[in-house]
Amino acid sequence: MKTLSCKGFSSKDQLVLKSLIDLIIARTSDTWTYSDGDDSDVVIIDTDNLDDHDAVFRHLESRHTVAIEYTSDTTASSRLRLQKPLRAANLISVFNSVEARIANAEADESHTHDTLQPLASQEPTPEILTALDEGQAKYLSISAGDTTCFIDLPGNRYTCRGDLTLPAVLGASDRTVSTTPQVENLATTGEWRPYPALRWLLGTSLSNGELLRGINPNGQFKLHHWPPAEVPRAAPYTLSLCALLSREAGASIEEAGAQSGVARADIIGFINGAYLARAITTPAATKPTGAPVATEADTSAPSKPRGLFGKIRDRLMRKAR
Amino acid sequence: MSEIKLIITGPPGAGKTTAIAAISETAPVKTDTHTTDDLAAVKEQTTVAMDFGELTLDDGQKVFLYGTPGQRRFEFMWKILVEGGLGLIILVDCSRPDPLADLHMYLDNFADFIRQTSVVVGLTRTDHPDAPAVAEFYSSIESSGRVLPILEVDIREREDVALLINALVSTLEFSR
Amino acid sequence: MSQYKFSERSEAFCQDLFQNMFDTSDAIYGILISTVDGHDVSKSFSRDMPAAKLSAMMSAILALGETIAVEAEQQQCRYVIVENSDGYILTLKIKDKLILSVIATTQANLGMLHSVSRNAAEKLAAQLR
Repeated sequence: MKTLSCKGFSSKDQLVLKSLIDLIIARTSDTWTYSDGDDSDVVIIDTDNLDDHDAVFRHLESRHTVAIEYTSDTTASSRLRLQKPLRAANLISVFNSVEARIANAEADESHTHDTLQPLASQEPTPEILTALDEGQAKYLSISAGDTTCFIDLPGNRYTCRGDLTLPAVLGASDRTVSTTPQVENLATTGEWRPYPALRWLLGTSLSNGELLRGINPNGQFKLHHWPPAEVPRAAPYTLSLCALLSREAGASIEEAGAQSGVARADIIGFINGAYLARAITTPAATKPTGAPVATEADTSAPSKPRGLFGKIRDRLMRKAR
Repeated sequence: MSEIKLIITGPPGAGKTTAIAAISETAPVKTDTHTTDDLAAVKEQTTVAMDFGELTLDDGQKVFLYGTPGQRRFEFMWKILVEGGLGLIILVDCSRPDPLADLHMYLDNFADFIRQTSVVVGLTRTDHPDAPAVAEFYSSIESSGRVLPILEVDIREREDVALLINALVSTLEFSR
Repeated sequence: MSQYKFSERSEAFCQDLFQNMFDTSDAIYGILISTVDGHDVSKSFSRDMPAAKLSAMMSAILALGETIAVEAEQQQCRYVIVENSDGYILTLKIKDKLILSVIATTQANLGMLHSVSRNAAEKLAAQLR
């Protein structure tokens, strides 16, 4: 079990953090609980609200406590970072990185900093997605609660049996994913529904931070077309990735992360989705496994300040006045 | 404090006035007049000078949204309105006879502005039986070598207008 | 494209009216009737000018004038006048769907130009029912 506390948080952010921890607990390797005490394993620091945050970081590091900065700043940083606003996917990604970092620190005291470890996978979904994509499996079955959705990837269609929608099932913390050679009792599941955003959605929802087999993580990724609007509607961060990867020269995973502030796991999910949708050129493969890939945290500086664009985004996210 | 100006263009009836009305926090300024030509079968009024709406950012900075007239005879207004603009949204009405040609007409006419800024394409009325698939729009611009954001939207929905502006802001920030 | 078009009789009436206006003031050298959405319908120019383009511009400027008046909490924009180093361009509405534009040199007396244009617009409105 790992304990977590926060410093400098507004009461609202603290409430959101506690709620998210309860929600995502099933998708992290370890069990995380919120602690009000001073001896937690991890402390998240709102560096926008705390003037002396550097001193807090030094103090925590001297105690070998993992410190994570929580900020709206998108310039690159070597610190573990949670971007504002709090999002479950970012939290999972950071927790998984922290777990790997702590485990690694325990194994090798000398190798503790600046290397994010492979993200823990809860389900072998990237392998399943690859198998589907390559025709080695027929249908994908995803279940959550009393709902099971069947996905026909070549047909870009799906059908659900139960009350939940496909996005709800994909986003459920208790979902299970498997392949199936046939959809039994298809008549009772209702009709197949075409869904142009299906491949993108599977990539962004089921990747667990692992690239699909055959995708080389090192090199430039170049997007050919943007995803259907459902994808950015559900995950607005994908717009930044679309723009970055639409550049003439494309962008690497590290560049995309450093310049957009999007979590690595989300970038990988997006690339997987684009790959499944045949919308991206990926670097030539160097190894034929879908093993999770560890890379160093990117510390390159962003290409230009983006305060104005961030403010416009914030305004657009708000409801009409 | 600098002002930010975004321009929305596209053929008559594509939803430019509707888009600005959907997202503007103030009553939009319109220059609608009676339609007297073939377009009257589709809509009673048309924009002849510009539409105008605005958003205020948290620090008081303004984002101004200008809608152009759609018809080519108002080309002079296009040139006036893009002056000082930060980016362009082209709305394409997929229920019109040749939406692909419509897109290219606006891409060509705003080419200089697009070269200096960024562009996002919003496809409207994509449920029309003769509407081209999104892939056809991408294929038709492939030769330009540029990857444009092309998104299917319901322009009556504020969230979808916000999505287009957000996509435009992303391209301005990251694609250039 | 089907466009607003005058009958032969209405067109003849317009041309007579235009001639009267030219006769009233030597400074007037262009008269144009266009639709509110920017199509040219009838004209009489003593110099070469692009009627189609001017029609679109007149409709835009008149619509802007009306909108500006409303934004300034004023009502019923009657004219839009472009006064420049070479003369005047005066634009006003004829009923709901048509616009009259009168183009004159600097020799024109603005008050008279107003009067001539308003009278013409009233006659056109009465005739073009």
